[in-house]
Amino acid sequence: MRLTNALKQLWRSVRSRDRLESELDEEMRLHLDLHTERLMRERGLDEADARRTARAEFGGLDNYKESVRDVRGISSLHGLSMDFRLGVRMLVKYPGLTVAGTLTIAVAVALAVSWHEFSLDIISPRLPFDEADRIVVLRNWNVESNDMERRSMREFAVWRRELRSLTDLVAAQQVSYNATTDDRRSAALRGAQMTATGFSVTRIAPLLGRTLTAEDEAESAPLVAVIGYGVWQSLYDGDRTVVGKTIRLGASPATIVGVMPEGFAFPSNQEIWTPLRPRFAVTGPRDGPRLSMMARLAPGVSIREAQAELTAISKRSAGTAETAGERMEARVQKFGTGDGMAMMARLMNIPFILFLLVVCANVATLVYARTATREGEIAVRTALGASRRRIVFQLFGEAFVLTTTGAVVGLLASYFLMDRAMALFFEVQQEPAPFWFKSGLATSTVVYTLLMSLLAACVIGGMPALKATGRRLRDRMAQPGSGGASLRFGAASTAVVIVQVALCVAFLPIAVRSAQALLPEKKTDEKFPSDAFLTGRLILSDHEESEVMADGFGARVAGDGETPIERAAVYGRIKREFAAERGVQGVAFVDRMPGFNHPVEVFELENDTTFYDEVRVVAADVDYFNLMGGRVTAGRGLRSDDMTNDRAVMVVDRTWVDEVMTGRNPIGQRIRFPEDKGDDRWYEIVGVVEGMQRANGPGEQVMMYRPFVPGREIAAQFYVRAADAPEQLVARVRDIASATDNAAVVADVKPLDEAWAPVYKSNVFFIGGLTLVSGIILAFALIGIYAIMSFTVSQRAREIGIRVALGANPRAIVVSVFRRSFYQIGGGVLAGAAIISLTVMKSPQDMKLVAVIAGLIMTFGLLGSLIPAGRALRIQPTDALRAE
Amino acid sequence: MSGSAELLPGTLDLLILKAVSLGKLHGYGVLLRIEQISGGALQIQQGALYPALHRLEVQGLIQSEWGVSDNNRRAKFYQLTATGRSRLGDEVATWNRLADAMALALRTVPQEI
Repeated sequence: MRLTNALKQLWRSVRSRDRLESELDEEMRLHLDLHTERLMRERGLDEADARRTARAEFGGLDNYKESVRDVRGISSLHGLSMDFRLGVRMLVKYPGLTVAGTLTIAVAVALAVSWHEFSLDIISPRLPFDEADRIVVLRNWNVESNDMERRSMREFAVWRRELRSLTDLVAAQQVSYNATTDDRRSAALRGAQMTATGFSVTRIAPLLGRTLTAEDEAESAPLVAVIGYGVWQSLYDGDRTVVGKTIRLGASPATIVGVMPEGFAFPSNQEIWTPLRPRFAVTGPRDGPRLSMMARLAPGVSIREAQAELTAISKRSAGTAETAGERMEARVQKFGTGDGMAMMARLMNIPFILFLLVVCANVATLVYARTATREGEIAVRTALGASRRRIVFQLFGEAFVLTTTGAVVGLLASYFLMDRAMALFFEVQQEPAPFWFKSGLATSTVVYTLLMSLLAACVIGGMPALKATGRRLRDRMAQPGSGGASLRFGAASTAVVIVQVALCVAFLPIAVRSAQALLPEKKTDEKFPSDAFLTGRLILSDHEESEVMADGFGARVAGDGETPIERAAVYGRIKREFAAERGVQGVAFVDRMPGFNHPVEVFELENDTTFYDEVRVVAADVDYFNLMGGRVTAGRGLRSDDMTNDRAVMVVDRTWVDEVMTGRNPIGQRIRFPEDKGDDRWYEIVGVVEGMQRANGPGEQVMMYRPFVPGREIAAQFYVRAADAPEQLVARVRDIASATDNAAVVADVKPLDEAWAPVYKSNVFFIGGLTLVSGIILAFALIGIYAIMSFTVSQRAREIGIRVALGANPRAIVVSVFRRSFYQIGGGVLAGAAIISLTVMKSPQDMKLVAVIAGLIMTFGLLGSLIPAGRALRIQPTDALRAE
Repeated sequence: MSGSAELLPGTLDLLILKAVSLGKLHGYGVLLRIEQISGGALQIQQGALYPALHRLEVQGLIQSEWGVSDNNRRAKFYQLTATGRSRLGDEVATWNRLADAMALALRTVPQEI
């Protein structure tokens, strides 16, 4: 009861501190007035005497007020608010430090906040659904390979039948559809074949018509589709009578039964949904489509209870599953990414926090220098009774104002730039963002920012405050009267300079190198005619599979060996049709657009199996090099029989040969990709190609080319060289593809320039950002080094003046100042260079960069010490002596 | 003010509770009431009254409201709460027991031992 009362009082106090202050004044003023009147009345004093006596008999007014504040719990608040006011005053008084400090902290906070926000979207998506925290993901985990097994139709059937702790069990498979309306409008759509529960689990009602039902999943049911808001607008102009119309998905007509509201894209970024028709009875383990599975926790059931039930069911059914040699583990997890990725995303916060600390250390040295100039003020406050704690709080408060200003600027920058960065990120991925990636900042991000601001204030305010109020302050109070600041870094001076310089020398080259790594490395002396090309994605079999699935998995299993051959035939036909089109000069296929979100593969050399490196590989068809202007300069290129026979041969880029082969002849060498579980063959290098880097565009560098086996993959990237404007071919390419094969989907078809544009844009954005960040940090580090050296030498100004007055040789003094600074900065440079060269930067180019940065720091540091030394030499000896 | 005594530690709160139990009072009124009921025998450091009043209010033993004093000034008036009344009863009983025990002890003469 008492605690509640006290808390209530405290809360009231916090809210109405100003009111309480004025009421307290009024209450005590009344007391003094009444007592004054009484004294005048009873003792016959005049008003002035009476008032004086009343004040005396009352006792220390301020002390009692402070006691009342203590009682009310507003004492510390009162102090704090004063500290913050002082902090704001300090910001205004030292604009240079304010701008520099705010800017660097803002940069560090913006980076950290952006990552935090991004990782939140990955780790714990905020789904826009009713009771969204009860939606879970089911994963069938292969313990042996530590990987998720998506082909889990059999498990899904068992779980759907038996699980009681989960409702609305959803299975969905991502598909692509080449959709055509009755009036011949067409588009490539991202779709999902999904169980009807995919709608009920979200509890989102359709905008028009209905969602899918369990009856739609029946084999004999007519094919129906639910379309998304975007499709409704773009293909049907928002026609409200769309329900009941037919949309052709590849070759199959489907009836539109509903339209979902804007923003609905479950389970990720889909825009059309058709029923998933699982034939559980004939589906074996590790067979069937690749599924995502979701569900909703039953009312009152915790995720742990659901996991327990799932584990029990899985164990029971494990005996019957034909999964010899596989250890599977069923997992229920919150909607979002798996544990491994989540942990990685969380750990990635650490470098950003470390970066913030480095930045704070820089600002702290400047604040330290400023604090030293205020030592007189601190001494007076201490003499007037302020405790050390009080002064430390004051300095902390000042720092907190600075860091919070920086943090707020950083938070705002992140808020405004995040959307742009995300949009570019997904544009480069060639995939729209999942529907839960929303702009705006989460509450936890704001709290995180506040915590970072506190941490930064501890570093920036805490260290100088403890030092400024330490033993030396008492010494100074004992020897009042000497001019200038006496707070010195002493032994700490050398340490601070060395650490500061070392951090800069160690960190800045990494930042600069990271920025450079993102720059396009291609030589652009010979411009690639990217404006003459058209590119796009040809997707063949998704619809075929869905048709096969509709016919039953039995048919699919029987025809399993034929599908790739069929696909190969379709590729061949489409390529011929493309090439025969008027205005087309050439056509080539690769398995993926080189350098776009391109995975790296680890490889080993046959004659040196200890050698491991990473490389990006593209599967290219026989025409790719010719079409894109590549020249085979050694050995041979890829041949038709490499493709048809699926030969393990490889053509490598000249750049790779120069880097890895170091003079050896690459032809005949063999390499292997040990981490590719599906392909453990040794590939023989049969040729070397040049001139492909510029043709591959602005993405990551691709160094190896293996034969593109038509039909092995369901999708491929095509390049068409046009004699004239390639954009005129876009519609024709679509038409040719669907005329050649009903099931063929052509997606993302656009001029090559346009396809590369997002990478150029993101390069400009990210490189620009990184360069700006590195530049600011470098500039601030140099200012910091200059300031700290200037400060330490300035403190010796009187000493230098006196020495000159006593006849010392000015030249000798400059040399001594220079020598000391040189040793301090040199020590830092050596320490930083040692750290960096022993860890990450070892090449001669890297060392050159380190040397440039070290040189800059050395120059600024020495300037910082020599300029004030020169100023000190100009002090009149008499002035220096008088000051003593 | 001859014959006046310093307050024993801890007794100011009890006196304030007693004073406001006799009617609503502002701060200075509390001082006058204590002087009055103690016959001017108890010396109170005037300023100390206010931390004590605010402490008792925070503890919920008294409550305050703003009103108008006899000479038409705005003043903060304190009065006892139900909790305060019950606490006053307990404290008075404890004090009386202590006072009786002290009086008894101090009245004792050698013959009574």
